Amino acid sequence: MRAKLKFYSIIYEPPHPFKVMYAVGVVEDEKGQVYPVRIESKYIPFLETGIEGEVIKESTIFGEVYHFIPDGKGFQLERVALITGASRGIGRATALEFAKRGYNVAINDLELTPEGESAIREITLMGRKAIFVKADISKYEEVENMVKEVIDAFGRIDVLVNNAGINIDKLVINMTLDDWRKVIDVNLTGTFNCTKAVLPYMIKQGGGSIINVSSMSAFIGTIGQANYAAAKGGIISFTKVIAREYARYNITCNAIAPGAVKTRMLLSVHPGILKERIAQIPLGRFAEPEEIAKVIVFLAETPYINGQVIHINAGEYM
Amino acid sequence: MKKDVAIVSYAHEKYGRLEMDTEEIIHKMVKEALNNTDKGIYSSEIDWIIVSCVDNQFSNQHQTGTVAWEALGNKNARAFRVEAACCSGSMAVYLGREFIRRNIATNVLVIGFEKMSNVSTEIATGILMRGSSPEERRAGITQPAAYALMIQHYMKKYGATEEDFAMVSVKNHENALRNPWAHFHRKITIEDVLNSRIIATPIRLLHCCPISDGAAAVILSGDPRKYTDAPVYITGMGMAHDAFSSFRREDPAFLLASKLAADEAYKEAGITPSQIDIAEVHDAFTPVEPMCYEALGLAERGEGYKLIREGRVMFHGDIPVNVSGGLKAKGHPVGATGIGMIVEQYLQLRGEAGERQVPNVEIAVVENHGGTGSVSLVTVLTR
Repeated sequence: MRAKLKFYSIIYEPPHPFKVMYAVGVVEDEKGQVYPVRIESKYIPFLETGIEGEVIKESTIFGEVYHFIPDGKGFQLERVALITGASRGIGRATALEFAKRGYNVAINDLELTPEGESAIREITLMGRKAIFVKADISKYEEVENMVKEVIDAFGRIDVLVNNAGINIDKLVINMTLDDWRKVIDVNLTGTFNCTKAVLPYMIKQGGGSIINVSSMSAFIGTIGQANYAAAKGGIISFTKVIAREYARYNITCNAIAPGAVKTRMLLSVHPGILKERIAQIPLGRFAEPEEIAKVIVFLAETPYINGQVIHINAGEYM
Repeated sequence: MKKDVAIVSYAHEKYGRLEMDTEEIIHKMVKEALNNTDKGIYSSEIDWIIVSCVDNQFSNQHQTGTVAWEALGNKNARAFRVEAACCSGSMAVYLGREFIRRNIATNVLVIGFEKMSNVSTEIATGILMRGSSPEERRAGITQPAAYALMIQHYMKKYGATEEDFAMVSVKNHENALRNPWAHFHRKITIEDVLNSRIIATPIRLLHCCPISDGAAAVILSGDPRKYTDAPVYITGMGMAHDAFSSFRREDPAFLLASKLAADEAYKEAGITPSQIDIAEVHDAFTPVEPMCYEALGLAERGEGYKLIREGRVMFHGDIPVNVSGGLKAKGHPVGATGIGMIVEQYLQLRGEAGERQVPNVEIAVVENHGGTGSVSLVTVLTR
């Protein structure tokens, strides 16, 4: 039946047995009858008094419920992905993959590299919008400003990919406190900073997806990567907490743990070591950044996966 | 003004988190109420006990009446429990008064309590949603959301603002600073309210009453001078209903049940709203407080929010409302709330309200509604 939304309220604190935020409203049909309705959180950004839509009756575990579906909504949405450390490597490939799927993209890094510039050009040619947002993710103030910049440009953030990371590989005996802190600050604290800054916007808009880039290193104890592996392991624990804490706001959080990917970070390793490494990989090759990007986009678009770590390593670790 | 039933004693526990279990709370209320009359009362003089408690899942006890009966220790007394959503406490007093007026009893002990901290906030919100209409519940309309829909009607119709509602929260928190029984003793600002997190648009956390444990009791008597030289009479009481779902009411921006209950209570007491010195009203969500002023006739329809803008309902205003801190800051242990409100007015009328005493109180009113206004009771008290 056709109906007009008279009043609505967005419930940010869902009671038991409801788990996830939703909206409720009162609608009036063409005969002047009024009904209470439930409205899925994905329509929250479009709600305003007076909008029209379809009311459908649905049998649920709570009994028969009227659902209001605003006219044509859900299809007009321009989704937005913010990817940190996206001027090259996995981040850059992820930016392009999201653009292919119709997202507008915010590319973050310490500076805009020629590869970053070319990514922006490619995305623009696809008919999507792309912006560069400069920020050192280890500094919360810069992150806050970055997130505001993305909101000013696109109005929302549907996906956050916490990808930016650095490595300073040394045996612990040679590792300085500064080496330790720098890697923890960027890889782990940076993930916290970006997540914290983005969450209020995702809550307000009715949901979102956060994908954290961890590493196989967190699982296997790679020699020389105490700081890096600790940070990436911390990211996995952090991911599980976020997945539980924000599910009620329709926000999912997952991590990926890539093995050896053809990025600047991997290729800086001594060729002899790389040869030995490749011998350990059942498929006998390193991953292309695009292969990692596809999994990230898949996670962003599969909301029933939450709090998981997806290993992408061709069987090197299982 | 007929003075046939009066309050001769009270008990009141601090609202907040109580370590005691249901049985201990009830025992304490019985004992304290019996020990608190000016001239003394024997348990054998109590004919009936009425217990107000909203939900078993909070209390873990169905037979709260029997618990109270055992605590009293008078084999000839009889006891039962009542429920009328958030106005269960007033309902219990209403019944106790009727028992006395109809010569079923001479003295009635009325106890209200709730032990809400037994469950998590999510569970408590779910339990409280059982006070919404079936169609509201199926759609998932929580109590804050049901009020939110009414408040949006009100804002749209009359132009009240979020700042007006924030001022009600600020006022009630400020008042609670003077009340040792209040759940919160924390001063808040308008900015605090407007920046607090949203629960159900436009209701924010600092518009909402807390989930409180608490208990209160009164002894009603048809022979009050036997027990005190300063009884507080219940000179008028009214009760009324309105549609269960707020959006099915003739005017969702008005508390019709409270107005009808007030009309009945004022008529019985022979008073007009202009004679009221103080009022305790049901500010479960502070944006509804101005609607309570209108229902009580303290303001014209659609002008309640102006009383808060003009400062008239502040502690030092000409018609102080919720000097106890209200449900917002004193707390809202649902089964105790109505009785706690009546205890507040009892103390005010006897001049025993301590730091929060309002001078020269002659006529005090309590408005206590349930289920966003589907049921309401209004009580007029005088010396």
